[in-house]
Amino acid sequence: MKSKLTGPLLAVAALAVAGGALAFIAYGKIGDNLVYYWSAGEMLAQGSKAYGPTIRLGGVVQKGSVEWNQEHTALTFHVADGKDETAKWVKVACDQVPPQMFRENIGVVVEGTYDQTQVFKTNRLMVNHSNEYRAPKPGEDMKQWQKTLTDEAPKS
Amino acid sequence: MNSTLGYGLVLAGLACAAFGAVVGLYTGLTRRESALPWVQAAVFGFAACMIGSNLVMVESLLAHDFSVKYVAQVGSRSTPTIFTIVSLWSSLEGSILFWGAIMGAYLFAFAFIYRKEHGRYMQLSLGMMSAVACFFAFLIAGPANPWGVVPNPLSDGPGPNPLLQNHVLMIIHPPMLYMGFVGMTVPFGIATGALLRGELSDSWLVPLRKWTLVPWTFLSVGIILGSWWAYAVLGWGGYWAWDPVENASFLPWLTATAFIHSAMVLERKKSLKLWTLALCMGSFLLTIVGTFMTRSGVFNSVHSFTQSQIGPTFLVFIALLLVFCIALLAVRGHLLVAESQLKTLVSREGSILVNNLVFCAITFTVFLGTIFPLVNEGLLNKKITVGEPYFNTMALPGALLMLFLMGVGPVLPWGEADARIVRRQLLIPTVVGLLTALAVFVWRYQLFLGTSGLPGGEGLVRFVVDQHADGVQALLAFGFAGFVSVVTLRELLLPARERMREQKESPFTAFMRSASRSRRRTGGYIVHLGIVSIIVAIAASSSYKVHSTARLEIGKAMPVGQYQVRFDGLANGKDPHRDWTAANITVIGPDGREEQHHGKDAPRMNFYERSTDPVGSPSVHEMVFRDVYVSLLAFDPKLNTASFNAWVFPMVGWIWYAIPFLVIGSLIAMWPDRKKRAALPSAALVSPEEGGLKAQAP
Repeated sequence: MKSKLTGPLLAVAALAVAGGALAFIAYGKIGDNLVYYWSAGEMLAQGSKAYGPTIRLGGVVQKGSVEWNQEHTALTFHVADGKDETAKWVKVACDQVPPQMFRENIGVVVEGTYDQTQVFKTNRLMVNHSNEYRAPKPGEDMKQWQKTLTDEAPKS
Repeated sequence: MNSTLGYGLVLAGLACAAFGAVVGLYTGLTRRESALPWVQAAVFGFAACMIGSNLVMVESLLAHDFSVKYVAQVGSRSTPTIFTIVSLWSSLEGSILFWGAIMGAYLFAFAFIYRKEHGRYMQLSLGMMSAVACFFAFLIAGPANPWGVVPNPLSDGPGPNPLLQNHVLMIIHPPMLYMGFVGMTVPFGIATGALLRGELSDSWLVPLRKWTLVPWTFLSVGIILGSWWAYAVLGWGGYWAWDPVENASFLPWLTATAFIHSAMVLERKKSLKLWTLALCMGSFLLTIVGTFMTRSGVFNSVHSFTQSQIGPTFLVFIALLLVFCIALLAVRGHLLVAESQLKTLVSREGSILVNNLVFCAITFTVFLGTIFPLVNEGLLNKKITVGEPYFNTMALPGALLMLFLMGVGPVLPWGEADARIVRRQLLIPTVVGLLTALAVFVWRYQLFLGTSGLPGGEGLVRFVVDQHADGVQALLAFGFAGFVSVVTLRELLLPARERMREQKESPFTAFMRSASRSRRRTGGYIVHLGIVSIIVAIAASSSYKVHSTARLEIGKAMPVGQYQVRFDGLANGKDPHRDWTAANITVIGPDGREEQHHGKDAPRMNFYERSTDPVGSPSVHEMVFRDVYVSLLAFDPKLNTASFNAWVFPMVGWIWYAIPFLVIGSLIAMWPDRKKRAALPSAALVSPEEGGLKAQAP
């Protein structure tokens, strides 16, 4: 009887150990690969904690901040918390050609890292589809509905 | 009018499903088998109502009846007819309605095929399936009702989401996935029905396995087509991003694949019973969880989820199912004791067990990474995601191990293996595997020397040092692929060779006859070849891709790998439902051959009438061993310039080339055995002590 039981018990124990180890490794790996979603203000508030990890910085391209050297595909602009002038902002340097929709005052999400130089470096610039597709509500006026689509403000 | 008719059919379907569930489960548990025709009638009724309701919806879409809420949401007079039909599944409510139709079709097919010959679990199985159908009918009737009435209908609507109108793959990819997802209801019904009945004879195992293969095939094809669509339409230069929506379809695929393998051990060795049934139920649960993930909006934000009406309904259903499954396995635990013990891992059953553990480990880590952001946002109110590297570092070693096992498993016999025979059988495959890896290494090294310009010796050192985990994994993938291919081909062709020698048959007849003698084996190995092709394609296209980006004036070219992409100027065009601007390009090969991609064939931006953002479509220059992939980032009509993202993806097409292998292999494996059935009296299909099949004449 005893020998009959030790087999399954051993198997269960081995499975538990293996499962535990897997969970531990997975949890650690998740920790290493977290991508934080922050706005400019939230990221600045983190202080030096924001230096290093991958961050998805979301906000609005500040008016008058876009500088683009087309020869060297060097693009810099400010990502701000909002359109008003007092909003907190972060300088972003991007080494990619910006997408067609990219312009001032449009919502963007940039993925990259931040460091002591106070410049957010990114190689992934996504224009926030401010008009995340939305079907009109029944009876909603077509013109009104289209206007909500063309509104440039990103959804907060 | 249409609304009333469509909604009426949904309600009738709900009533049928509820009736079937209550009667099927009650009479099944009290063993009143005379009630079966009633349950079958209820299932047929549900199927008819659901398919009918869908037909009415298609008719409303085609007639542009904007008084129907769903048509007002997704219909448009400017949409081409084919996309008007497709918009049936382009938005939440419609896709759930379509879901109902597929559920109806599956339940009808299952109930109809086994209307005369079936095990005693049938009533309970149909009852369980009806209960699941009841949930979906309830969703359609309540929280996700597409049949609402618009009081003052407009004369035109916005049309479906532009992304869904952009490519023909969108027409076939979602239905494939739905058929995969919904189809898992049938094996779930068979397994729970047999467990509820308390009779685990062999009679349920064959239908269980075959009816898992059906959704498994659809799911596999759906996943591949989905990645193909992402690749050919979205233009970000990839086919898989470990997005929650993608993971939602991948998770049940993993457990279902594990199930298909462990079912073999169950059949042969009468062990792993609990495990196999748990996998079957788990696959079904994961399809429901996947539907919840993709349909409730929970992944846009936890907060938008609380506004969605179907989310909470789904959570309750998932919780109920989970409790039910665990309770059922606990109550019937005594039936699930293994009749034989696993003696050694070095055997067919041992390799399948390891395969199952690896599948479960991958499922667990992918699941964890998928739901981690949800839990974090829900509990800590912090918005984070888990980056792609997590999934790659966790899943890729598992995938490589799987690949290796695909070569080792078939060589090992059931029971105990003779080490000498195994070693002899592994010799040639191992040599081929090593040679493959070496060939790939030399090929990469030559390329590296060509681009770096370093002298041989120094170049070799640098090349070896530069191999990151990525490069090593790719080499392993190629090596294992060579190894597995030899084993698989030998297993496929050896029986035919024996026939050729003994029966003096021609190679073709010999192969066809030996294949028809052991369909599961043949089908399984053909699927294995497809999987090898996919893994190699993934390894090559992710490790060996080349990317470059540039802004070009007319006549200028940019290099990408060994190719040149020249910009030939902008062009404009018009389709009924959209305008587009294309950046005409010419792809120049290493041998100087030029291939034009102009107009609709060029990387484009599409402008839809009722959407302000352009939707890009890349241009893919497909070749057997590599694709040159160019997407248009931006253009300036005044300066006549365009910016491009360009990639060379080696072997990426081999992912989609695998589809025929998967489909043909699965078809061979699940093809019904007509001869056998005709030759044997129906009662002989079941072990005699269980009483055999019940022949029920309607």
